[in-house]
Amino acid sequence: MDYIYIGIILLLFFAANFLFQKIHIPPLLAYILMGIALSVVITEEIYILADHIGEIGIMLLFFLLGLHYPLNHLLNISRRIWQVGTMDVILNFGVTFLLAQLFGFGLFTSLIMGGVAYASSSSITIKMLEDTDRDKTPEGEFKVGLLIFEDIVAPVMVSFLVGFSIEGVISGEGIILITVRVVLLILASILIAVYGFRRLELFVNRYLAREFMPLFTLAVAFLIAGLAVYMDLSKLLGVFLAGVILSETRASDGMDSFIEPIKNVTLPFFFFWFGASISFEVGIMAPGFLLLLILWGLIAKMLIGFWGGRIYGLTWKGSLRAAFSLGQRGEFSVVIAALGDPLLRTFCGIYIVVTALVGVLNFHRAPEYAENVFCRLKKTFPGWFANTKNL
Amino acid sequence: MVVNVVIVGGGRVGRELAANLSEKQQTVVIVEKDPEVAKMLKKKLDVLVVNDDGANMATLVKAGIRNAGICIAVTQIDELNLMVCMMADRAGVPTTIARVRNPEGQSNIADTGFSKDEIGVDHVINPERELALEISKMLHYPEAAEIEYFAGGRVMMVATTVTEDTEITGYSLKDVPLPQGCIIVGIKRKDGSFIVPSGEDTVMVGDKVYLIGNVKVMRKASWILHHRETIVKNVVILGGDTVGFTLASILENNPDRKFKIKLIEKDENICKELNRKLTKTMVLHGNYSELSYLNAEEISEADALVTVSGDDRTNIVAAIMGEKLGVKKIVAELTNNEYTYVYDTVGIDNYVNTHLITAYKILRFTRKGDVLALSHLKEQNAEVMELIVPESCKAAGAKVKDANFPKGMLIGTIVRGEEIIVPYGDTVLQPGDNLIIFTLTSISRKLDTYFC
Repeated sequence: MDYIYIGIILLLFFAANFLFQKIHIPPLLAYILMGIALSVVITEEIYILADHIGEIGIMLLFFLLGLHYPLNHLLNISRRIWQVGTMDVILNFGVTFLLAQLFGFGLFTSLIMGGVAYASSSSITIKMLEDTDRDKTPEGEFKVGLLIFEDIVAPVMVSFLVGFSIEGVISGEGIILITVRVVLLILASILIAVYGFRRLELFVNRYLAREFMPLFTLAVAFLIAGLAVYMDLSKLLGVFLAGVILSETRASDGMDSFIEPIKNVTLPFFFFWFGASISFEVGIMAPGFLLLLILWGLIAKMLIGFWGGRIYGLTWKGSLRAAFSLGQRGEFSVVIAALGDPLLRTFCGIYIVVTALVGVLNFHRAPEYAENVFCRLKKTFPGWFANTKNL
Repeated sequence: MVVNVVIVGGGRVGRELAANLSEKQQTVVIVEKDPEVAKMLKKKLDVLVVNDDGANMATLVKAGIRNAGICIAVTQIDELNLMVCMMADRAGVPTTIARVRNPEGQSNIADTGFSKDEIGVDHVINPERELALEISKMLHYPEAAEIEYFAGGRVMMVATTVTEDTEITGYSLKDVPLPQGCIIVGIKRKDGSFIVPSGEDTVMVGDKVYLIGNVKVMRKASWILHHRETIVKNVVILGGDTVGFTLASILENNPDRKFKIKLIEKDENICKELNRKLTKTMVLHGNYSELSYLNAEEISEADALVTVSGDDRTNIVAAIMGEKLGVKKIVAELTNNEYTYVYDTVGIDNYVNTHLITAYKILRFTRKGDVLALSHLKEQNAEVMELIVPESCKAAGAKVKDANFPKGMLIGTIVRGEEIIVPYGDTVLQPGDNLIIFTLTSISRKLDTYFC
C-alpha cells in the first residue's frame, strides 16, 4: 500500500470541498465527480480501499442518524409513513417496470430498470439534509422515514432480483423468508432497546467521557450491522437500528461528538467510490427511453415527496420542499444495476449519475423552488388555499 | 357556617383563593414567606397575613391550623405543599388540598405505596393538567368561548357571543326558538352588565349568552346561534412544557376524534424528550419567539392554535399571528392577568388563565354539601355548580317556584337518573336530584342555606 495515494486523495477531497463550498455547490457532488473523472486512472487497490473506508463512512452516517431517533419517535413516524412507502414502490418501481415493458424490453431488464429507479439515495439525502441544516425540519423527518422504508424494502427487492437473475424464476419462499428476517431484526432491536439499553443509561452516562466508550459504541454498531448482513439484510438498516438502540441510553449527543469526526474523514471516500463504480463500458442503448426514464424518475419522486408529504402531515410548502429533495438515486441503484449485462449497466450508470446530480442541485435549491411553485399554485388554484393566508 | 381556611403560599393562586373565600365570608389566613408579597397581600386583601415560613409547624399553629377546617398549600414548591398538608393533617385539619405541578410528583404519591389518607393529602390539584383539560374541551367545541361539562359529560354549559347571523335576537327568552333540552341561564350585555335572565328578557347582538343543557341538543343550539360548525382537526401547539405535553397526550388519546397534532418547541432537549413520550404528535423544533418561516407555515394551515409557551408576550404575539393567518380557533394561555386587556383589545377572547382555573378547582373542595363540580366563569361574577339535593334540605320535595330561591340564580338542568330535565316553575325537586345551577357569585354562598 502506497500511503502517498491516500494522502493525495485526502488532499483532493479537501481542495474540492473547499472550492465547492466557496461556489455554494454541495461538496458531495465534487466527490462523485472526482470518482467519475478518476475512475479510469485509479488502481484496483485504491478502488477497494475507497470502497472499504467509504463503507465505514456511510455506516457511521446511518448510525449517527439512528442515534437521534429514539424508538418511540421511530414508531411514531412509521405509523404515518407506510402509505407513502407503498406509493413509492408503485410509482417508482411499478410504473418504471411497466414503461420498460411497454417499450419492448425483456422481463428481467424491466425489473432491473424498476429496481434502479426505485430508491432515493439514502447517503446523498442524509448528507444533504445535514449540509443544508434541514435535518431537524418536519420534511427532514419525513424523508428519513421514507428512506428507512426504502431500506427495508430494498433487500427484499435485491433478493428477488438476484434469485430471478440466477434461477430465472421468482421464489415466493425467498421473499417471505427475507421479509420474516426484516421483521425479526426490527423486533429484536426493539426488545434489545427496551429491555437492555434503557437499563444501561446510568452506565453509559457515567463513563461517556472515558476512552473506552467509543469502542463500546462502535462495537454495538458493527455487531448489529453484522447481524443484519448475516441475515442477508441491509447493513445500513442494521447500523441505523444500532443507533436507535443506543439512543435509548439518552447519551446520543455525547456519542455523536466522538463518532462525527471519524465519519467526516471516511464518508467522502464513499461518494468517491460511488462515482468511480459507475460503469460506462459500452455505448448507450435507447437514449430516448433513457431520457424518458430520467424524466419519469424525477417526476415520480416529486409526486411522492409532495403527495406523500401531504399524507404524512406536512404543510404545502413543506411537501413542495420534500418534492424537490428526493430525486437522487445512489448506492442501492448501483447494486441493482450490477446484476445486468454491460449494456444495461451503462444505461443504468448514466441514469444514476444524472439523477444524482440533478437531485443534489434540486435539493440544494428546494426551499426557493418550493416558494415559487407555492405562489404559482396559489394564484392558479386559489380555492385549494382558502384556509392558508400569508402574514 | 364560617370555615377557617389556612392558605400557605400567597402567589396568584393563593391570592385568588383568599379573595374569593373572603368574599364568601370565610375566615382566611394566608402564610407567605416573602415579606414584599406579604406586604402587598395585607394591602390588597381583607385577610390575616402571617409573614413566615409555611414549612414550619410553629408558623402553621400561629396561623390557626388547629382550628382550621381547610388547609390549602399552593406554594411554588410541590414537596413543600405536600409537607404542609401532612402537618395540617397531623394537626387535625379535616380537609387538606395540595397543588402539585409536576405530574410525575402526583403519580409518585401512588408509587410510595401510601394512600392519600396516610400521607395526609385529601385532594391533589395539578394546574397544568387542569389547564390542558380545559383547552381540550375548547378544541372539541370551537364555537364556544367557555365550556364546562357536568353530570359525567351528559350536561354542558356553553358561553358564546351572539352575532348578526343568529336566529334568537328579538325574541323574549320564553319564545326563543332553541331546541328542547337547553336554556339560556346568563347574559353578559355589551356594556359589561351581567344578568340571570327571566322569560321576559331579550338577547341582543353582541351579548355573550350562557346556555346549559343536554349535550345531545347543544350542537343543534349552537347551529341556531352561529349558523356554522367548526371542526378542529389540525392542531398546532406552541410550547412543549407540561401544559403543551399534557394537552398533546390528551388529544392523542381522544377516542372520539382523530386530531393531527403538531407541537412546536424551541428547546431541543425538550423536543427530544417529547419525541420519547408522545406517540402520534409531530414534534417540531422551532424558535417561536422569532416567528420563523416554519411557524408561520405550520400555523397558517392549522384549524386551531394553542399558545402555551409559558410567556404571556410570546403567547400574545403568536395568537395575533394566528388571527392574521386565519386560524379558526385560537386558545392562549394567560399567566398574568394584567395582559387580559391586550387580548380584549386585539379581539382574542379565548384565553385561559392557569391560576384562575387552579383556584376554582380548589374552591370546589371548600364548599359544603354535596357539591360535585364548581366552575367559575371568565367574567368572574358568576359560577356554575353541580350539586346533589340532600334528603334533609329545605328544597327537597318543593316545587321550583315555591322554593324561594334568591334572585340571581337559575337551575339550568336537573339530572334524575337517566332523565335530563330543563325545569319549570312546577317542577318538583326530589332528593338525589343532580342540579346544575347558574348563579351570580355574590349570592352563591346563600345557596348553602337551601341545599345543606
